[in-house]
Amino acid sequence: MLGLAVCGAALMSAHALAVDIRGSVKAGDSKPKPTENVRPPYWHEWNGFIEPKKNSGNDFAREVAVVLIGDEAMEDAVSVAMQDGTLSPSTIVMQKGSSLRLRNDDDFTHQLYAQGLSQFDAVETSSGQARQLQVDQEGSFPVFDRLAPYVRGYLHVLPKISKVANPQSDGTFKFENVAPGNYTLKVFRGGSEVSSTTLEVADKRELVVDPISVEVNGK
Amino acid sequence: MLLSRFWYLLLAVAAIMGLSTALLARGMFNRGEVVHADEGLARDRFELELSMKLDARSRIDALAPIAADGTVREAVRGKGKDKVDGQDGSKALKDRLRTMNQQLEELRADILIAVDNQGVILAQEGKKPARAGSGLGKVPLVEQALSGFLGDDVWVYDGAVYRMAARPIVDRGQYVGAIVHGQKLDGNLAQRLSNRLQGATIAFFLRDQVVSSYVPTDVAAAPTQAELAPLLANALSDERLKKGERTEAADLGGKGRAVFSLIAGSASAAEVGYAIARPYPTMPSPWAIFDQATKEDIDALPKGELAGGLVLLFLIAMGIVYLERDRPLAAFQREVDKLAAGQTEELDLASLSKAYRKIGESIHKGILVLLEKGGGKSRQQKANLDQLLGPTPEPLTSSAFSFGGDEAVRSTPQPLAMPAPMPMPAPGPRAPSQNNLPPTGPKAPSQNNLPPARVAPPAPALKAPPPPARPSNGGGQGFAPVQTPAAVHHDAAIAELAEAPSEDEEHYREVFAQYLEVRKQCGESTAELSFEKFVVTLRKNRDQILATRPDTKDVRFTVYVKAGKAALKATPAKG
Repeated sequence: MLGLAVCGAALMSAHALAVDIRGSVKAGDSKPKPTENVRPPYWHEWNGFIEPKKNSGNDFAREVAVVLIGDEAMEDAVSVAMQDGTLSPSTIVMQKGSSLRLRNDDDFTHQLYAQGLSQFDAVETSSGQARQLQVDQEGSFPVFDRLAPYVRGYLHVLPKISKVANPQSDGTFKFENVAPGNYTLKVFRGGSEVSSTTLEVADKRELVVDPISVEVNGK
Repeated sequence: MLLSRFWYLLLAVAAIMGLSTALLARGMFNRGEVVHADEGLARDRFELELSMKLDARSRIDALAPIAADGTVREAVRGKGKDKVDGQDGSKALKDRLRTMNQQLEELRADILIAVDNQGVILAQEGKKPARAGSGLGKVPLVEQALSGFLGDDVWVYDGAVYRMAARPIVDRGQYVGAIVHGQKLDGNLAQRLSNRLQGATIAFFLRDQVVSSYVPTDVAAAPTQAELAPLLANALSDERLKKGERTEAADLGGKGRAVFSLIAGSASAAEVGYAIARPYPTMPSPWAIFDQATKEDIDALPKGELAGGLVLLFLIAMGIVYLERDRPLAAFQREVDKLAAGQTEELDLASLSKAYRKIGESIHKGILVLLEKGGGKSRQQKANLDQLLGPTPEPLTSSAFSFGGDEAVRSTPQPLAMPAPMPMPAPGPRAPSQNNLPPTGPKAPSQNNLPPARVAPPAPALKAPPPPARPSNGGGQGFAPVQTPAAVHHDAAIAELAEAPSEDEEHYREVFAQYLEVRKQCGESTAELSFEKFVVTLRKNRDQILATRPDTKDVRFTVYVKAGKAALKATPAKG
């Protein structure tokens, strides 16, 4: 009887530590920014038969990173893919001293580097290969590809983070199994921190945060 | 020799001016060629851009039949998974791409890629099969093609630089995928562009490495890839290049010029660009300017005027040579010949030019020295003057007389402070008393009293000069060869003064009186002057002038002040 009680208490306690946090980000349609320092090509014109297809607008999955900062430190390496000729995600948030893994899923070579971060210098990564590096310097760093200027991203290195999530294409995100306690929820888009709120995670099954605007500079 | 020196100066100035002109012309020519080359490069860049744009358009248009091909559309719509014409869609698509690519001939792609509507690579020609699931959907050129746009770009793709073109594949009213075409930025393109630009060197670079180039073989000194490469580092730091403009022309070792520009497209951010270079002719030396002359230039020369100028200059030079060298030399030669033939005992210095006169004087001195060495008596005029005048006042010995010819006549004496204007009597015929001069031959008593020292020893080589010819009195005839002319004059003058007071004597007295007066006014001593010595000096000078100037009938003296001292001037009076 006592054993059943202990087991039940333990189960209840374990259940109390696993809180899911749900939320969403929102933004108006954004136009793709022209790549800097690029001389425009000669031709760019409509094919003349069918109306051009409209882009979906925001690519939250790639562009937005939601970070939960609490007592718990994240130990996993952050993984980034070079895919379809871009970075996925392109907004990268990681904890100082942790590892960053860059995997080339494209059919051509990339040569990524972070401007201002000596540990992340330009090294070729062939198709199908991966590169891993440890980052010990805090700050925000733009990421470029020396071979493909349209590949761009941002790396944010924070002193401590607990969890990182990238929204779905519809803007929703979810942190699973979060221990109750006080947290700071930060949202990054590109090179900017667009939101920072404190969360008190209570001992309940799920916490839903209000939608977070990820407009950069009000846009 | 003044004319000659002036002529040489003119020649030197003309030569320097000619050389300076050639040097300046060389600099101007080279500078002009640089400007010309730079302007040519600016046009070249414009034309190259136009060619690249047309080339891009040609590749985009060449994709149209591929994008419209039924097999391609069907295979792309089915994402390569559906059967096409009874065979595997992916294989059918690849075979069809290969076939159609071959038909593009010059525009044949080095890589030809078909992607579905997500940008996933379905098939590619010219490259090994893509990794499963890999795509290009976020590459701007492909992304835009999937949205319905056709366009071009330049990629750095797997270690090479490609000129890319893409257009959408439309099937059943929908964008089902895109076809992507790539040609390497290689030497063939560089050669094609070089031919279009008529002889420019074209090089493509990726950062500081030249990836391909073409150096025209039919252009002398065309810049090479090796010459262009060292300039890349500077070019890449050029602000104009970063803005997408061309750089200012850079020099290639003084024999060529080059401009640099980034290429249009995303690869420009990876510092992919091109260089256009051209040689320019240089003039290695000032003389090479003549190599630039064409037959027309030579024909247009005013040959007649130039030949006339040449003859004129030659004649002027010859005239100067005649006046300043040949004629004085001939006169000197004549005098020397006379001397050598014994026709005269001394050179007629007055008839010689200055340079030869000095030589003549030296010859005279030499003769006297030789005579003295041989035991004869030299004609030291200074000594005679001193004997006659005692301690000779400086004006008398050095500047009292000027026997330089007409200069003496033309020179204007300084006005005197003395009241006497010193009018000179007009030279008239020789006074009869002059004809009463004692015989000046060896029979004259005074001559017979000459000391033995005046007797010249036998001199086989040199003959003692005869007394100077004096047409008016016929002096000189009968002179003993051992007696010098100066001594003869001296003695004759004393004798003449003592025996025959004449018009000359009156003139000499007047001059003597004026001379004493002027010396007093000048604060000079007159204690040691005697009329006799004074007259001897005047007569001696008179005789010398008469001897050297056959056309002179008489000599008149005037007193003037020179450098604050009394001086005498002899003025020949022509008959």
